[in-house]
Amino acid sequence: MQKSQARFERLVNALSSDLFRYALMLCRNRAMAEDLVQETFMRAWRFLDALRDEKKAKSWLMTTLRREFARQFERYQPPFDDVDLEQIAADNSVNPEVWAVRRGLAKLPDKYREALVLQVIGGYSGAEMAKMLELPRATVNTRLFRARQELRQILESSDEAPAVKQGRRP
Amino acid sequence: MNCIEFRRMLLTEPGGTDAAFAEHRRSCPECAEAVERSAHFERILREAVNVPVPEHLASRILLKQSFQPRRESPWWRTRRAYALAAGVLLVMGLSFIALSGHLQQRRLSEEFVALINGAPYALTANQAVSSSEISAALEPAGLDLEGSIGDVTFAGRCIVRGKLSGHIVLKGDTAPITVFLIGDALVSDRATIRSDNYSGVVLPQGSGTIAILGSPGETLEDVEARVRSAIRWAPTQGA
Repeated sequence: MQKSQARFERLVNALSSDLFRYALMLCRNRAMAEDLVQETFMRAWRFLDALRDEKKAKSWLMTTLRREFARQFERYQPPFDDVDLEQIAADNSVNPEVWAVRRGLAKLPDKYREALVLQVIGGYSGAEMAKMLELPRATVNTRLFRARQELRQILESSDEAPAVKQGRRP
Repeated sequence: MNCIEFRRMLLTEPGGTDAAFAEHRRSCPECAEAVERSAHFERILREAVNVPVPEHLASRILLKQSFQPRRESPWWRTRRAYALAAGVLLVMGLSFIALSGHLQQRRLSEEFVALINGAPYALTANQAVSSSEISAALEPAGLDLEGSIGDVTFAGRCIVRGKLSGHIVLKGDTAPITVFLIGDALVSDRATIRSDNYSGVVLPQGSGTIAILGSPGETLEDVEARVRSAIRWAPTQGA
């Protein structure tokens, strides 16, 4: 029991931040994102024995979170208005380029944003993401391609981040 | 890999380590410059995704977890199942023993009552029996009484579970009291005897058994104490 507890605490301390970021990018609401992370870890705690390989913990948790989000979203669709991501983006302390990219992310279609964020946060290969998203690898690649492409277009259509738009360092 | 394939891969897996990707980057200055731009964009993208996390998120998760039950491993489930099965068997076993003991006690009570009813003359005898007569009556059963146990009106023998046993009747406050002295240990603990017309007690004594029955409400404690004190089992108890 103590061994399981220590193992669980390691997972929480190491992965809760990334899981929250992934959850926020999925649902765009900080309160719901935290609920998703909490529920994901509670589920992980109940089924901790099923996790044999510690290296797969992150993808296991992210897949769990994604399914939990799908389950909750299926029965309740909150009126998303991108407020939280907008607020985060409006934080004046961040780099203007980062601010612009966050606003761009908020405006991306869900399926593109999810693929892109999963890759950025998890660092997964196309094959790994295809498995996690339960999609053909070609579909995943297409989503990643279009996500970056649309994000660049969004940035280019605004005048908020000229450095990024033009591909130059500030 | 041509430039189109290279640019497509740059947008799908910018951190890719594909050999053809690396080779094209070395050989194509324009695509190499695109990689530079992409690297900067990816750094900004990572920073953008790196949104602030609620304070004490991990602590709140661990707090919530502390109230959560956990699904146990198959090993634990198996052990719990064994423990549960063992518990059920134990309860069944104890119930069987208790029931068995209860039935055995009930049968014994019925046997003693049947013995009393089978010898009505013992209850109706009203002549005092001397100590020597008592000893003479009990001797074949391999036992004797030392000292008085009360006003004995009958001393004889009977067969209890195939064992020749002593059968004594003494005067009670309201009705005759019957005492059976059996050379075998029929019970391991003291038990009460109840029937419509009799109440009493059966108890182990030495290597044998004493049963005392009287009318309901009859005080038997004094008789019991005297019998227990007086009874002497012979070293060899013959049938």
